[in-house]
Parts: sequence; C-alpha cells; structure tokens
Amino acid sequence: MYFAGVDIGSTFTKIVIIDSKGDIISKVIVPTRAEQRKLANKIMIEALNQANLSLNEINYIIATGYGRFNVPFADRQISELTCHAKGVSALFPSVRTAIDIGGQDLKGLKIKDGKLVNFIMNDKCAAGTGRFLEVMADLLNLSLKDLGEISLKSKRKVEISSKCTIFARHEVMEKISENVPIEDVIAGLHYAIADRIVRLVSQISIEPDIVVTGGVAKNIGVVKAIEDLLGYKVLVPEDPLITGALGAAIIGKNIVEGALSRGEEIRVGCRRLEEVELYW
Amino acid sequence: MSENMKGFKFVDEVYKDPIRKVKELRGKTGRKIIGYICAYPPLEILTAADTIPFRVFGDVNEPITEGNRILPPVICSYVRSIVDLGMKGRFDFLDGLIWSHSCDCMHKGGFVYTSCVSKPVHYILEIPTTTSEEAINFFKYELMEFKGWLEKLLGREFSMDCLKEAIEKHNRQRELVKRLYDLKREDPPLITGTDTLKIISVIEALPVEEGNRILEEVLEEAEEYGSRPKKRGARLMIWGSIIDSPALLQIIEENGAYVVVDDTCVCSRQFWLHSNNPHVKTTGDLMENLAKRYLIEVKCPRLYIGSYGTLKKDYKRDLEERFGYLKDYISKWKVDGVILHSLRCCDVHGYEVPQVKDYLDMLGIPSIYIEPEYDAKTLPPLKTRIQAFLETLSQL
Amino acid sequence: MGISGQTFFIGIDIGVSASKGVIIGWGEEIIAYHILPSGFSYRLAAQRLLSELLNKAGLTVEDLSYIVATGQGSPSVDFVHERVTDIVCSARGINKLFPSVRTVIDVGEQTSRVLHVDEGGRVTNFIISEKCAGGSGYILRVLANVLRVGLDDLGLLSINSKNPIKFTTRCAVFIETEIISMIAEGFQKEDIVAGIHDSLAEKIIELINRIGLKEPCAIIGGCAHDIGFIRSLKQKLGREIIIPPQPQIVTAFGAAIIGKKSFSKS
Repeated sequence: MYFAGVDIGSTFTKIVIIDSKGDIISKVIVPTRAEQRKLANKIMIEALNQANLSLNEINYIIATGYGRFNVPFADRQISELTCHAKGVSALFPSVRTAIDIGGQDLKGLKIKDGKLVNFIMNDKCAAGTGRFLEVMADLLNLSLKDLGEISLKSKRKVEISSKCTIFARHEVMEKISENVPIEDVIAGLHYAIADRIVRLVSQISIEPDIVVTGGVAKNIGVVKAIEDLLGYKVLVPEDPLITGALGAAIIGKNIVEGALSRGEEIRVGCRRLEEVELYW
Repeated sequence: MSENMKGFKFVDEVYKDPIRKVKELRGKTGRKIIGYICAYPPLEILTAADTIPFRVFGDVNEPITEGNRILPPVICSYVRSIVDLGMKGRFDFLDGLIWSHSCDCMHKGGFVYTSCVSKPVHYILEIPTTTSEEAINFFKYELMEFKGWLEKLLGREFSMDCLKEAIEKHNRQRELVKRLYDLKREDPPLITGTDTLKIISVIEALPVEEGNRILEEVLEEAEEYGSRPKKRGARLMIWGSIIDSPALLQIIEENGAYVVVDDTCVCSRQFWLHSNNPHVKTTGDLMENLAKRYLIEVKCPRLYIGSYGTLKKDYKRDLEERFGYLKDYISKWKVDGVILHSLRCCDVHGYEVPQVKDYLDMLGIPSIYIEPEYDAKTLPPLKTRIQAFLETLSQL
Repeated sequence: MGISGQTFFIGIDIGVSASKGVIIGWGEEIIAYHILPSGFSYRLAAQRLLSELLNKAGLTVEDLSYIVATGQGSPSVDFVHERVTDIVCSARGINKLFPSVRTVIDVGEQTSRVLHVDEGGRVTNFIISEKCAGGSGYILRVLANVLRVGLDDLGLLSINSKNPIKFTTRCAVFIETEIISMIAEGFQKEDIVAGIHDSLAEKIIELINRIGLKEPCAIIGGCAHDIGFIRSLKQKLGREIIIPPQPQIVTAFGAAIIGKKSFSKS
C-alpha cells in the first residue's frame, strides 16, 4: 500500500509518498506560488512519476499546510500542527519539543509519546520566520543560503531588535552606516530571529529532545544561535522541509490500517488529476 | 408576523433584529428600555420598575473608527466597540444605560462614554470585589442608590411587592435556562452552542415574561428539533470573556465539535448555571438578598474566591475553591476539552488563564488558549489552531 | 559663498528606501533635485546623493552654505550642519508650496504621519504610526512586486475594479501571502489592487481620526504617485486632497529652507 502527504506551505509545497513500511519512496519540493490548486496537481504527477505509481494506487492522500483546502484530490485535510508532530516523531522518536520555522510562520509543538499535546503558533508577524531573513538578504544583496556561514565568522555580534522585521531592517542600515563588519550584523540578525523563536516556544515550555524543522533549519547560524540561547543541542533532520508532508502521509497510513483492522470501509475523495499548465 | 411564531422559529426571527423587536414592545406597552452591559446589575430591580432590561452587545463586524479617537490603544476591544457604537448613535434608542464597575476598562470606558456620548442617561454601578459581609452591605446600599436613580428617571417608585414578583419571574428564568443547558447533556446534544447563544441573546433582549415563554416553547420543541440527524463530535467547554456573537462558536462547530457548556458572561454566568439553587429568597430584606446572591453567584474572574485571607497557602486547594464548579460542568456535560478564551488586553481573564489551565491539567482535561480581538476579521486564523486542538482530542 | 557671490542650501531626506535631495538658492527657488534608492547604507546613499545633486546643479561642495539632513537615516550622515526631524521639514516644505494647507499626510515606506501646520509653517500637532509598518506604503511596494509592475502603474490597474477585496492582514510583510492567495483563488487583479488601496487608505484614515483633519489637506511622499491609492483616500475622506507636483521631495525642500533660515540667523 502507498500513502501520500501534501503540505502546501506559504513558501514551499511538498509531497511525500511512503509505502506500508513508512519508507519514503518519492518526494517533491517546489516553491509555492499563486496557483496552488494547479501546483498541487503538477507536483503530484511528478511525485507519482518518481515512484512509478498511478494516482489510483495511492490508498490515502492527506493535505496539510495553510493551502490544504486547495488540494482537490486529497481525501482529508489535517492541520499542519498535527502533521508536523507526527512526522518529527517518526524521524526522532525521542522528541519532546519540535520547532518548525517556516517561511511565514513559526510553530512550537509539544509532543508526548509521538502525539501532539500542546502547541503555539505565530502567523501574524514576520519576525521569527523565514521572511525575516529573506527581507535582510534582499536588503544586503546576499543569497539566503550564504547567510548562515557568514554569521559564523563573526567574533562580536551586534544587538538587533527582534520585535519587527521592518524596524530591524532599519537598524541594519544604521549599523552598516556605522561601518560595523557585515558578519557581525548578520550574526546579530541570527540571534534576533533565534531570540524571537525561543521566546515564543518557551511559552509551552521547552524540553529535550528538541528538533528544529522548516526551511530556516537549513541555516546553520540560526541553529547554533538557538542552541546557544537554549543551552541544549538541537536535532535537525536531513531534509527539514518534509516533516509536515511525511507526517500527513503517516497519518493516512494509520487511518487506513486502523480502518482495515476494524473491518471498516475507507472513504476516499475524487482521484482525478488534470495535466495543467502553470501561468506563474 | 412574529405573533404566530413560537419557539425556535420565533428566536430565529427576533434574532435578526432584536432592537427592532424591543422597540416594538416599548411602543405597545410604554415600558422603558434600560440597557446593561454586564451580568452584575440585578435585573429584578429593572423588572420591578416595569422597564425592559436589554443586554447591550458590541458588534464584531463594525470597524472601530470613532472609538479610537477618545480611547487609548491598549484596552479591551469589546469596551472600545461599545463606546464606538455609542458615539455612532447605536444606543440612542435606550432610555437608560447601566455601566458596571466590573473591571477597570468597563469603569473608565463608562466615564468616557458618559462624557462623550450624549444619549442615553446612564448610571455607573459600583460592585465590590470580595464577598465579605461588609462588601455585601456596601452592595446593598449601592443597589438602593441605583433604585433611587431609576425611580427618579421613571418618575415613579416601585414597591417591595413588585420586587418580590420580579424576583420570582427571574428565579423561574434561571431555572429554565438550566433546563435549556440540560438539553446539551445528551450525546449528540439536542441544541448546539450556537443555538444556545442565539436563544439567550433573544431572551436577554426581551422582558422576563416573554423570555420565560420562549424558553418553555423551546424546551417543548427541543426533542423534535434535536432529533434531526447529527454526527457525534468532540464535546467542548468554552471558558472566558465576552462572546456575544456566534462567529467564534460557528468556527468551532463547523469543525465537527459541539460547545456543550460554557462559563462566559453573556450566557451561563448571567444565569448562575453552576448553582444548585438559583433562587433568590423572596422573604426578608429583598435588596440584601439580591446583593448577596448576585455578588456570590456571578462567576466572574474579577472576584477572587480562594485562599484570600487564610494563613496557610495551598495551591491545589486554592484552585479547587476557585474553579471547582468547572469540575461539575465537565462531568455533567461530559466535556472532552476546554477552550480558554480571553479577549486581547482583558486583564480580568488574562490573569486567570494560567491558573485555570493548571486546574484543568490537574483534572487531566486538555485545553487550548486563544486570544482573539473583538473583531470578526481576526477570527479566520483561529481555524487552524482549533482544528489542531480537535485533532489532538481525536488522537490522530 | 559660491559663484558670483550666490549662496546655496541643500536639504537631504534619507528615507528607509529612498533618499531625496534638493538644492535651493537664496530666494528659496529649487535649483536641482534628485531621488535615489537608499540601498543598505544610509551613509553611502547620502554621499551618492550629494554628488549627484552637485553634478546636476553644476556646483561643488564649497558652493554650499548650509546642509540640513532629515529622515530615518539622517543620524548616519556625517557631513551636515544640522539635523532636523522630518515632521518639521515637511511642514516647512508644504508651507512654502501651499501656504493655505493645514494638514499634511505623509505615507512613507515604514511609517506614516499626519501633521497640523499653521500659517507660519510651524507644526502644531502630529501623529506617527509607530507600532508597525502595516499602515505604511510598504504594502504598495509589495503589491507592485508581486504583480511585477511599477508603483505608478498601480493607479491604472484599480480604476476598473467593481468589487475591491477586503484584506485582513495587518502585517505589511505578510500581506504578500494574502495577495498571492487571492490570485490563487482567482480574484481579479483590479479588485486585488483596489482592495490594497482601500486597506491602506483605511489605515491612514484611522491615523487621521486620532488627530483630526484641518482643511485644506495635502499628501506627500512616494505613495502620492499612486493615483489609485489617492482615489481611495479621497473617496473615504470625502475631501479634496492637494498633491504637490513632486510629492517625494517636499520634505527635502523644507529641510533646505530650514538650512537657509539657520544660515541667515548666524
């Protein structure tokens, strides 16, 4: 049997297909753009091709993420909070706190025995999200990928406000004008975002083991800053972007296996995919 | 048109425009309409004076424009909405308005309202924050002052006999609301949380006799109304401040859950749902009876009932004394999870949340804390959180 | 002192995204002006601005009698005689161009302000949207980026809208997501643009309400180029709004005039 999870985030859309053992047999990650419905169709086709499967061979499809209601072929929509918790637990069974730093939101998840028991979320303000770093990279004409490495070169980071992305941006311009070395400014930015993240997640009390996921988890500077502020080492999956989609697929697997064991029927949605051209 | 309707149909009809209905009644009977904003003012006094008590709500759909000019930015958006609507003339139809000193925002909001809005005439009711004998005495004298003001406004006095009659009618209403809530003890509940809010909004807009009649009709129709096919879903309790619009409840109930019981100002707290005997005594000093019962029975977090004044501290015992009635709600209504709701900047509820959460953790009941603005536009982001909470309850 | 005994004054307004400069002569007439993006260093932007201005005016730095800097980035500029807050400069600038104006609306790229000006060009009251950039022109820039058009094209886009969309996000950084999801859900471009115009106009009006409006009123800043936004603001305000011919340089102009006044006092 096969199960698919589709995670439509604000920045990236991810699909993961797993088999009955829970192993990932294909995955696709594409930037989310305006046309979510068509994008979901397109990348599903890609994921199926990768796995050498047809849509009808997938037993259950769960959509998650803020765009989860834009996936016409999904059987069910589950919140990304539940899916991330499930995905992270599958990769790190000892996890108690998961921090997902997305492109436009920040989630703290409390996990017990592989299940979500508490959560906190910021989706109102860009500070503490990937957007924060994007705005700064844009300002300084640097690529997001390089930011982390540059920040590690700093010997003396500067203090930068962590409260509002746009005000922090202004502070960066001031510091540059004062000839502060760029790596110190960038290190300051990494601590600012880490500070914001730690403040939010502390509200549900942080306990090890701590796992960090999301696009920003790829930034080694942010990860180190978080470890510095927490006083704990954190775990980062090899592919930090797919935990939501993975969790969604696993939940689909659990639903189907549960129904089969009880002799219940499984209701699925419309298994139809159109070949579509993207206009964006 | 609405004369021929009864029960649920009547509720739906009146709910569309309660202000119009109550103005109709004033036209027919000549009874003045006195607005009130909080669960503390004893409605018995208003009924005895032959007025129509009208619970004033804000409007989550109305953008706040005027109110921002004369109120500071960081205060409760519910009070801000009321002041804003008042400045726009929404409450001009009232013959009087009672502000309560239930919290600083209400209190100061009342001051601002009275100086910036010309209609209607108002009274600010002072309410103690403890239930000692002195406090009860103080409240009794405050109520007598209030009675005097009301009589001057109406140009006539009312007797203790009228008050006794009024008390009996309101006692009956509290009884009936209890029975209304009992309908939700079924699984699935015979009426939803949204239904409850609508029914209560309507009875809070009408005279007590009308309200009682409607409740009796609804109770009669309940079996049939509730027998329509419904899926079973998570049974939730909502604890918190002002929820006077169904918008939030709809988001919750659209996700397949039911709000089977609440501990909120507009609904259960106004009718002393937790009390085994919500009857005010009709013998002896009636004003004192009212003062005592209202002060003790309205479960507003502004009032601290706990280990205040004791010499030995015991956190668990304190929590039990303050929130024990929630345990009853949870067991009677078979609650699966609790939503803790506090409007942004609500001191009264905001301070209470961590301890209510501790109490619920003690009981092993899952809970989630949401802090919306009093503004319909800010509710959609809550959908994800509520959906996630329901998923944790269903053990996904 | 400069060529043939003439005196020149410079006002530079270093904003978060654009830096503007004006050179005036003794009669307070504009000799030259220039606008350039601020980039990531206020100091460098100011230096480049100064050299561009001198170039345009055919002057050298010795010809300048007084230099005034204003704007968010002015503390980072080292070659000035005086720094003055932009509120005071805006008032002075508008008063020179339209002495009857009593309220100035300045929609910047990080903050917005509303000020009351008297007949002498003095500020009698003001309010700044400090809490966040949500009520600033930043959202117009975000919108223009998503649609891949210029700021001055936005005005033409919204004119045909019949059903402007109501936006709910307050955060200027996140409104981009909401715009993208509107496009995803198939809403018309003109309704999206009109919706953003309305959203910003409403926030500006919230600000105006807190301080009151004295007529006539004028609008300055880069957003004044977006005629769609102006249309929405005028409609919601119900009043006429004066738009100076070069709305972005009014503050720098005022700074230059203040420079001249300071110089003549000394």
